Amino acid sequence: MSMKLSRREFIKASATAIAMTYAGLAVKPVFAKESELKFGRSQCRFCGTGCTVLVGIKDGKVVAVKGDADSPVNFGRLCMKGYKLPEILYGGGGKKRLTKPLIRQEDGSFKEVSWEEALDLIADTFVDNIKKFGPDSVAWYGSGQNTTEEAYAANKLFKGIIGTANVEGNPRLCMASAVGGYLNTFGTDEPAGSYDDLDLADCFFIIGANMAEQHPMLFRRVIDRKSAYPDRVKVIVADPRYTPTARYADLHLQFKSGTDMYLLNAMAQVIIDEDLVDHEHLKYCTFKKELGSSGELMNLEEFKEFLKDYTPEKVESITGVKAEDIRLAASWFARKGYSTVSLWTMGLNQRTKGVQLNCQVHNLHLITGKIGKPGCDSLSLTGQPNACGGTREQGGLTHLLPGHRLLANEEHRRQIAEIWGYPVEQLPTKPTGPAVNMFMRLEKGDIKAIWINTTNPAQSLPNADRYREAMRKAFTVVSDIYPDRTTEVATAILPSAMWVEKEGVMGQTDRRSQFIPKLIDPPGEAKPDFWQIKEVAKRIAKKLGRKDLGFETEEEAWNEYRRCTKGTDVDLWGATREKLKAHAGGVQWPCPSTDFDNRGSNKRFISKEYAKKVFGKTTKKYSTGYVTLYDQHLEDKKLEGPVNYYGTNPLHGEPKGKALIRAVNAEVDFEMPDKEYPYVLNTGRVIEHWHTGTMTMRVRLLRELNPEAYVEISPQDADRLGIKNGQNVRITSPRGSIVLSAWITDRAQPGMVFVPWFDENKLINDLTVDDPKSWSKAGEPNYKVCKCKVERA
Amino acid sequence: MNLPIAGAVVVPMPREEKKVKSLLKKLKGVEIKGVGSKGIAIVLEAKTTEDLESISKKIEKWNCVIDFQLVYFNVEDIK
Ligand code: SF4
Repeated sequence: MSMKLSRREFIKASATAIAMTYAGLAVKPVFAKESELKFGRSQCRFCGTGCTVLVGIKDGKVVAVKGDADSPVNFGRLCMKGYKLPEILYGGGGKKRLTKPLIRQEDGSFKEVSWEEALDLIADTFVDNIKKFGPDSVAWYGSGQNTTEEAYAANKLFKGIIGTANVEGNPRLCMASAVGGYLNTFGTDEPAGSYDDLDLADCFFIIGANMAEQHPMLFRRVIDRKSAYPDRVKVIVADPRYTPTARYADLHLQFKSGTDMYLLNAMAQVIIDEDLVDHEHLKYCTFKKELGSSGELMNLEEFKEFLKDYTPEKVESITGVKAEDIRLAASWFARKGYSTVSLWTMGLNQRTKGVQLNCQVHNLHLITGKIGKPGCDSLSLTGQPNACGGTREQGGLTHLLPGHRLLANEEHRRQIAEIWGYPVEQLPTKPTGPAVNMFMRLEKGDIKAIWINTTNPAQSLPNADRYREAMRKAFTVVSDIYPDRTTEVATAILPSAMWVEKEGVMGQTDRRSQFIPKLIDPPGEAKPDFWQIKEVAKRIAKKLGRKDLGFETEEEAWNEYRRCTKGTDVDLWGATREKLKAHAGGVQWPCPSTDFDNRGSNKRFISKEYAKKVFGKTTKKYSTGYVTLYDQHLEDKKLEGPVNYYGTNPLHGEPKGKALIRAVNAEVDFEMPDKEYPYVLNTGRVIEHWHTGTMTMRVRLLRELNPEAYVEISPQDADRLGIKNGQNVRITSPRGSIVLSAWITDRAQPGMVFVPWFDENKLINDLTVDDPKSWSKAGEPNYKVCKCKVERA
Repeated sequence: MNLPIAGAVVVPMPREEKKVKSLLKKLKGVEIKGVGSKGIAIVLEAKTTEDLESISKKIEKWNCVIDFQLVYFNVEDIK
């Protein structure tokens, strides 16, 4: 750098160099005045992608964030939300961080109390209820944003010390159907491939996901691939909305809301009818009717027969998608010698038939052999930064135990009780109920005390109004960073440390675990959730005369959790703290090896020999360390290859080692439009905000970009109803009503309206459906399809 | 000292590169630095952070843009 360069010129030169580098122009990035800042490696906590970030600290405050160029997740890039991470820490939009424990008084006001007082009150109340009404009178409701250590400590406290299976979390609302889909198909949860497959795919099949807005950094990899090979690479988007992702696509399959099961069966029908099948790969699969382990086995001919009612011509009138487009999509998906990745999120998961829909996507990959090869995978995207690590892998739901174990399985209980150091009889033997059911039991009074941690169910539960009242009546403890709709109804509020104010591990979409270090102190008296759980656990254990958690630090908890995963399919034994800290982008399980350079398995279910055949090599090097392109669990357990889907879960049933292609009858969602409620209400996120806006509404830019909820209405419907842009519109479902301003846009399909759920003053979830019959087979509620009417207000 | 300067990559929708470039040229405070395989590299400069953010907002909302990515945001100005 020339000494004559002014500060302004220097910064401009830096900005130019970095922009040019990321635009694909050959310039080396230089960073301005970074010596003034201390940078630490962390992970963005705004979506399930898990971009690796470098966090700049000055005078004990976070003042800068940049992408980590060494990370195989985001290669130094970040989206708008990622760049605004520092601002989530310091309040805004009329709200300040919670800094003192608060207890609600008789008159409804909150009084500041000491930590001792708050912790004693919580422990006393929980123990009183346990003694009077039994362990199932208390509950934990956690989050896909808890660190794994926090989630593990809470799981051990509730299932191990207290002995209740009332452990649920918000991932039930977003990922449960995906888990059901993987278990029913592969017998084990989570995907076979990795983000790296996006860089090698020739066809992207994106269904029920608006990646351009919700997973922008992963969508960048889609764009990069398409830009590099515009003719070879095809992007198919199946979505009832005409989202920016759909606008980018080569082919948009705009099916009528609720009819995608027909579309997916029709694609399978074309693939089989036109013999686009990979017969070699079918050796590792078998066909089975419906879900679960009891259905009959089938063969290819019988599956073909089953699909004959789903020809594109037959489903055209149901789905609203032209037969020729379905044929084209199927032919692009199944192109021989080319690779395909499927990606989806809540559009499939938050549905009455969510598990079946997940299975149908897996079916397409299994029959075409687009799995276990470069650029091929059936990759369910997650919405939260630790839904996979803290909940799915760690076992943070009622029916699970750490390491993909099942609570109802005696042997699994015995294994965990031994690691935990409790008598096995202390553990519950049966699951209680999924998240919404837990809040129903709270409403009924069966659950008397609940601890809600790092999540905002008063805004996010379906038919939320009903449960706000239940929370207000019960003894409700809420740990969070800002006041929100849930702290409003709390009995006790505990101020939490967040993100880089505490340490912990988080696990994302592609079996990846990353470490977040503590870089700054939390404000006021705010404390890490791990500390809160540990302190309450000590008190409860003492009062019940039981052994406490047995660990003091997050690192000790992580090391105990690693033991729980050792030898299982979710083997994190090799994910030592040392490795997690050193490698940008972390470790991918299965990783049985503690060898420092070994960062785990990039691909699952395939042997070393098979990897050599399809990749031409067996490992892939990153800037530090390497991943194997084969499944280290197969090698460790000496399972026979070349392809082996473990197939050992009871949900999956026999035969072992084979994946199951599920013949599922197409059906629509539980609550479809009728005469009184002629529209479909669809809800979701927007690019600027994340979930209930607790954090993103604190960031000025994001707040200004999207200040309040609105309703997307198609031009055709607006015309028919005489609605103008910006005019107030009343949306009414059988559960409630709301007035929102109209955005007339071709994003919405005629017959469907879309409302985002980030706005705490306009609670669209007061209208969404909570009837258990509307939940997926995995207990996940339906936020995408319920009936409503639309009127001028 | 306020130095609101940012580097960004603007990714046009397929076949919309020309349109995006001409729109960018009309924006005050925006300089196109080059067009690479992954998008158009630009530098944004403004008097205040608010102005800088409002330019970003504008670009992000264009229909001919599929992705707008800040890759550098000057740190001194983050409050
Ligand atoms: S894509 Fe997700 S993880 Fe990455 S920077 Fe954006 S919000 Fe953060």
